[in-house]
Amino acid sequence: MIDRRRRLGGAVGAAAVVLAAGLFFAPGAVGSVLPVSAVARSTALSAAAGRVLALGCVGVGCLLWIARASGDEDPGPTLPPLSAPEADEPVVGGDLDGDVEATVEAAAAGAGHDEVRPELRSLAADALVHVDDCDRTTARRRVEAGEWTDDPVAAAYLADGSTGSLRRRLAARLRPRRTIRRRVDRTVAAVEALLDEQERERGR
Amino acid sequence: MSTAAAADRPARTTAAGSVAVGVVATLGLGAATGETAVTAVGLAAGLALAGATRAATDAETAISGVLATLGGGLGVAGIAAVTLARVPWPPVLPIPFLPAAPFLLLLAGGLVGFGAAATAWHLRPAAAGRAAVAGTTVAAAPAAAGVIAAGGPPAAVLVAVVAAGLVAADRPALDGPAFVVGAGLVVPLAVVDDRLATVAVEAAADETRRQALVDTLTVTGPLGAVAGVVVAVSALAAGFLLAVRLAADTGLLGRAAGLQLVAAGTFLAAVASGITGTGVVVLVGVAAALLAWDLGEFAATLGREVGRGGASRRGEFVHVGGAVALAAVAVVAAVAAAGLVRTLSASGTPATVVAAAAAAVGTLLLLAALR
Amino acid sequence: MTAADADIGTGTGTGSDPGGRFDAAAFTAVALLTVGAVLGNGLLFVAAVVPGVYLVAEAAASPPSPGAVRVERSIESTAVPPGRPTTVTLTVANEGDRPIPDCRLVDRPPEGATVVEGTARGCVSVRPGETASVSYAVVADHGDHEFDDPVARLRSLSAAGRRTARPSVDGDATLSCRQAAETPAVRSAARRRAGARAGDSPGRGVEFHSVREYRRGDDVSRVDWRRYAKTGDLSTVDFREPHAAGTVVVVDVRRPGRVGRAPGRPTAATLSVDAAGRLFERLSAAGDRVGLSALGVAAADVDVPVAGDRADRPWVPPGDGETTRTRTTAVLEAAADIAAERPSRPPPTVGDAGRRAPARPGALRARLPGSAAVVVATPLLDEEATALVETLAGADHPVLAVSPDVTGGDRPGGRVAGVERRLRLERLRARGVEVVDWDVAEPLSVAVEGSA
Repeated sequence: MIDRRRRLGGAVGAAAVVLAAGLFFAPGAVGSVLPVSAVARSTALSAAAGRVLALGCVGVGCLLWIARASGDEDPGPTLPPLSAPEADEPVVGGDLDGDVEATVEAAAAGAGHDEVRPELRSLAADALVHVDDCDRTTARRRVEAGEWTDDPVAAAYLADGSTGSLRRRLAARLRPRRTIRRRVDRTVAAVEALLDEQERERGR
Repeated sequence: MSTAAAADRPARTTAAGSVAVGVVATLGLGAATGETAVTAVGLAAGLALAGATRAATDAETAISGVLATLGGGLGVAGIAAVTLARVPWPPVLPIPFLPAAPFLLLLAGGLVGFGAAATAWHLRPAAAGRAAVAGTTVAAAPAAAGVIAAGGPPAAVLVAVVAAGLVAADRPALDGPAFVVGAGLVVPLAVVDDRLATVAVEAAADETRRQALVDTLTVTGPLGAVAGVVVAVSALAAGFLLAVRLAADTGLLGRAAGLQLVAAGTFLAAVASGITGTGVVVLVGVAAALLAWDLGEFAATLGREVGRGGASRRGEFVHVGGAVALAAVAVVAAVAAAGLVRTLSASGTPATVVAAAAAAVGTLLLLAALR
Repeated sequence: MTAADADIGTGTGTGSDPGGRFDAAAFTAVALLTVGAVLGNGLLFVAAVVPGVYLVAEAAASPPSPGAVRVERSIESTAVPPGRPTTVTLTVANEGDRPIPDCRLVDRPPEGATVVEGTARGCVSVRPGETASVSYAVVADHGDHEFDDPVARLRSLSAAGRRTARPSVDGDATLSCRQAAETPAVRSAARRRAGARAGDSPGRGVEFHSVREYRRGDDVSRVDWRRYAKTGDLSTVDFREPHAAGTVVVVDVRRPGRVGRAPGRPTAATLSVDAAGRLFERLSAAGDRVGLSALGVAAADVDVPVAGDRADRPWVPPGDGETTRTRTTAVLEAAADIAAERPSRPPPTVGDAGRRAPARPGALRARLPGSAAVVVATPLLDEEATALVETLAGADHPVLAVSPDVTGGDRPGGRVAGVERRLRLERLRARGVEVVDWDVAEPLSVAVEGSA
């Protein structure tokens, strides 16, 4: 059925092309058989609007035909999907990652609650206790005062209250997701730097 | 997740090649048509709108709104520049028929710019809808201010009722930060609106046109007129972004939407330059559009089948070589065909008109039948 | 033609398939013809020749025959310990007489093997008589794993039309992963002087020398040189001499350790079992009397009858006979099974993890002979494990902790877990406990000095 329609369309198309070639190369011969000038004077070809309508309809029709007919017909086996659905396996620190994602999404939705900050505060205090050999209360106080690292982003994130500068608060409003991720990254890096520095000093 | 899954990303080398071909060809076609500046403005507007889409993906609505407004503003500026180069200021109805090519080139630049950035940033077209909302939100406060300035107390009551209705009908769709940015925009607009109106009136080409402008400003008030421009800007941006979103939703744009837009924009630029009759460059432009498509489709398929982690460099280079050769052959064949046709017929006799029509219909039918 | 080709042979008989890749060319041609005709623009009309050439190229293209492709798979080492990456290489040979410009090869590694470097895919271009290769690295779970045949998809130069087939594959198809897959290094007496470090024993009464740099004579053949080139160091556990009162190996497979660095990677607990197995082997081979306890395993879970401690954990008293060996093997097998079971939810990194998975050092101490040395294989991912090691050290047992490290990576969770683990390690070291921080991508080399 489709094949016959296709063949008919092809035949009509080929005939039209042959006619066009005949008109180009031997207009006289074709003109004696067909009323060429009468066809040219018909509204479909002489008036601009008619020409647009007639040819536009044929063109759009062809586009639709092509769009309908196109498709993949590879007879071979299909390729396995690129990424196998990742197993929902627990990975080390996966719960904290979940907390980070929850906090990021909360920030994107305009909510302020932050589940990561208390955990990182406790981590920074632990690291400080180890590195500076101070007691936990002192370490905790220094973290809350922002006096434990040179990194201003990490210090401000763990510091008590909303002591962040206007610029920083504005950044958090404008780019909520990125700001949370950056703060967490910088803070973890600052804690890692504390330990690295101590290791280097001891190595010396 | 903020960006499309890594698994869907087109292969790097070929995708970069496709974007490069599209950008260079579009700018070249713009230059050949004598509309370099318009094409470049369109490109910049496309980039800004892609930036708006990217920001919307990351829930950065204020930034998204600002970038959408910037993109729309560039678009409006491009349209205004093209129009005012041909029509005296201020344009009054009826506006004469303007050549389509510069507008098409502006749109082509926008498509290529958007597509290029969307490819680099792996944007999903679905996020364009959110960027459109952010852009509209930025325009909300200026529009309200404009309506109030033009209509006085009754308009203020109307705006208040609409706002209250929006708030009452649950959380308004308008996003907080983006709305605040728009509200912040009202202040400088209110400061400069009088001066802008004066400049606009003084720039009028003749007395009747000046009078028409003054009449319009009397109705809208200067702030209302400026707000109208802001609304037009946001409408243009939203229109573009929503069109992209719609094209994706209807399945017209696939997984490598950016690369498809680059190829489509390049093709549009080629058609625009063909309309103005720039010669053989058109043939090169069409070939460049198809080359961009060829590489883009290859990159998308390769990205889907092998992914970015797989070793594919050599295969990519081989294909790029083949694709460039094919494009070159196509250009040579088309140039030869153009030469042949030119020697055959230059007259508009009834025979050639019918012949052209028959050839067009015949080829179209053949094409469709062969697919 | 092989059997694999035959099952897809019927489909490829039609030659190239349209594929729809150049639909855009058809669209372009139609658009140009329409616009050109409507506007009476001859040049745009003629420009339809450009997409016409693409359509001709598409019609003329025929993708290479899959019969010309021969694939060979080679696996760097077909028997690996848990956690050790091994490289798989697929080599494609073009045995036909036409070039294959675009061959996409997708290997199908078994479910139990996770790709950790590169991907099991590639796009290669092979001239007749030439070969090209695709390689990637996998980490395997415990057990034997069978690779599936790869899928190859071939295209012509214009990439119009394609053929997909499952070419037959030669070479390796099985990867097996065993605890202690490597035989432990036995160092000859002649090499001993290279490692002489007598008298610099750290801590009180500790008879271990732990991490040291790689030395000539360590099990070179098993060294992962690629990893070594990146990090520049290797982990080696070095025992000076057998301990008089016997040594007890304690393996920790409690719940907090049953997590991997990434999905599909072996858990820290699995790696601890691997380390414990190797330590046990090495110490027994050196003539030591060795015992075993497993935290997180119930004595009832072991296949052979074994004694239990107060917390009902298996207890194999120090010994050197056949019974000890049988029981130890059974306990380690039970521990390996439990270690591979991942809990459905990850345990918390901070907070009350300890209370959920108590280590019960008291129960272990009640069984330990007076001054036996203790080697604890634990990932140190929670406070309980640290406390256990501290308690044992405080009770005057010489203690060595061997700790596989699965922390780190790019995720904040992994990095925070890494910091917490580092702090635990430091705390133990400050108490005078020797700790081997085992980077699991490197081989753990166990060596005993002073033995024949």
